[in-house]
Amino acid sequence: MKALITGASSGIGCEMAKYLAKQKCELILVGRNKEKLQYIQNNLPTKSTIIAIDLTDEQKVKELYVLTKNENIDILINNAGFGKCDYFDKIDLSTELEMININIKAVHMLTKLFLKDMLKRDKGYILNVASSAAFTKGGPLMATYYSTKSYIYTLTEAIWYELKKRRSKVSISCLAPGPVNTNFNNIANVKFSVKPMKKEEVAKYAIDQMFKRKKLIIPGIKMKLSKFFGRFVSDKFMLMIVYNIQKKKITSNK
Amino acid sequence: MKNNELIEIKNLTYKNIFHELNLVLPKDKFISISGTNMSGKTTLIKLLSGLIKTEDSVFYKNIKIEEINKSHYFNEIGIIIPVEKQLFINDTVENELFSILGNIRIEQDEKILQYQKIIKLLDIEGILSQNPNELGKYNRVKLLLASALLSSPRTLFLDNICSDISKNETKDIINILEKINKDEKITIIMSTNNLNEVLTTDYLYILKNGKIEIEGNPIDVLKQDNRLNKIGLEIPFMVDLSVKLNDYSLLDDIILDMDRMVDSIWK
Repeated sequence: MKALITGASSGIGCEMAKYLAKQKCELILVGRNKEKLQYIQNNLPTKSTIIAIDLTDEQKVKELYVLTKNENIDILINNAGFGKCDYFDKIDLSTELEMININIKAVHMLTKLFLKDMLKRDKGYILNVASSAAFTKGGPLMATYYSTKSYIYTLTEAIWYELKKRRSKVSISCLAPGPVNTNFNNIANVKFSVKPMKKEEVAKYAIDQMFKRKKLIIPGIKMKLSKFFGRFVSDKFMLMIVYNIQKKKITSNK
Repeated sequence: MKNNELIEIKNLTYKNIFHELNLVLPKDKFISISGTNMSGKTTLIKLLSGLIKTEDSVFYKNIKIEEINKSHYFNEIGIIIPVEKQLFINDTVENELFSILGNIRIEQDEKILQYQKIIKLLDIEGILSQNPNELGKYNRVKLLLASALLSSPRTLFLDNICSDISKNETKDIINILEKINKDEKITIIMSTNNLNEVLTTDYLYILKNGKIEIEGNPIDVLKQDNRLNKIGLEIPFMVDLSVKLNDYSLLDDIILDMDRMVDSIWK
């Protein structure tokens, strides 16, 4: 089996690489930092190829596909992404556009391009990493991030249904982790109110569930509950909760 | 650790390869590590560059490698291990170098100067329009060197970068490395199984079964032909010839240059 993982140089992506390598999976590791990728390449038990690339560049995403389309990739994991926490009017527009490029455009493009090939071979798995942020009806103070993750969630669920109706052997899953202890937190300027889960656990759970062709993968009982809970409260109430949680993050950082 | 020391290895024990190895590598020097296959060269390079974890045995500028922030450390060094698979995303060498430059945090003017300097230093003007994934071994090494140098590292770790490269091309690469070391004050730590590559380096370590068997000035080390033969290393022809001529008192030093050799024998 061969897997391509974006955002493999740290966090959940890196843990997924380790877990897949343990299962004798051949890997293509995609990330921004070449040295970090080299480091992971050297600590994996199986053969891997590294590709250093900035996925915020649309052209580069296409080139990534061209470069790897003949590798017969069985597993595509769209994990690269980042978030930023502050008032909508205060976050730099270029940062947000970059976020949209990597969180939405890159995932969309890679999913489409590789899905076509997988359908031709009638096998394969795609795992799109969204976030538990995807379930709320908006995320004050992380407006753009929540929106990008909703996009991934909605898109993936729709494709999942299309595949199911066509009885395809290709499967697509959406991973919606709650807070996880990764480098993300440093970049996003965030401290979590819910105790973060260990990234190894999340990665292992996600991969196992992906092989079981689950549509939506939510690691951790607390996050499962919060999704359930979200059904019974009004949208406005949910917004209020999210606002208060995020607000604490910014103020505790200042 | 003294001021001129860069890396120190204390009691390194790693798998079955190293057992209580001690080593101090000086700053600003061109250091070569040689040995036969399986002597631990590549593992040593990986341990020193932080690519594989040690148990608190490697110190870079007095700090344990494990305790240095990975991003910070990787900014400070460059690592080239050509046998490891890497695909280049860009369609030309030029674009590949540009995209690396794009990620470096220096002023735009500086970027251009840096770029031009490296192109000139490595003499890669001619391959700029080629596809980086289709380069020959020699040019691929040059590209890897250029990529590493763009971010101005303080130390370069090179693992057998001249293997499967022709004699003249190897000479060329070594000349470039010397220039990088002298002009840019970049410490170079290079492993190789070809002793021809180590002649002009500042210091040479010979590894055998995970231990330092011989060390010192390369010429002094290479004079010990008996020990090297026992280890199974091939002594460079000019050194071998000089040593033998020394034995017959026909020559008093080691001459590496063929023409000079002819001149001195002719006298």
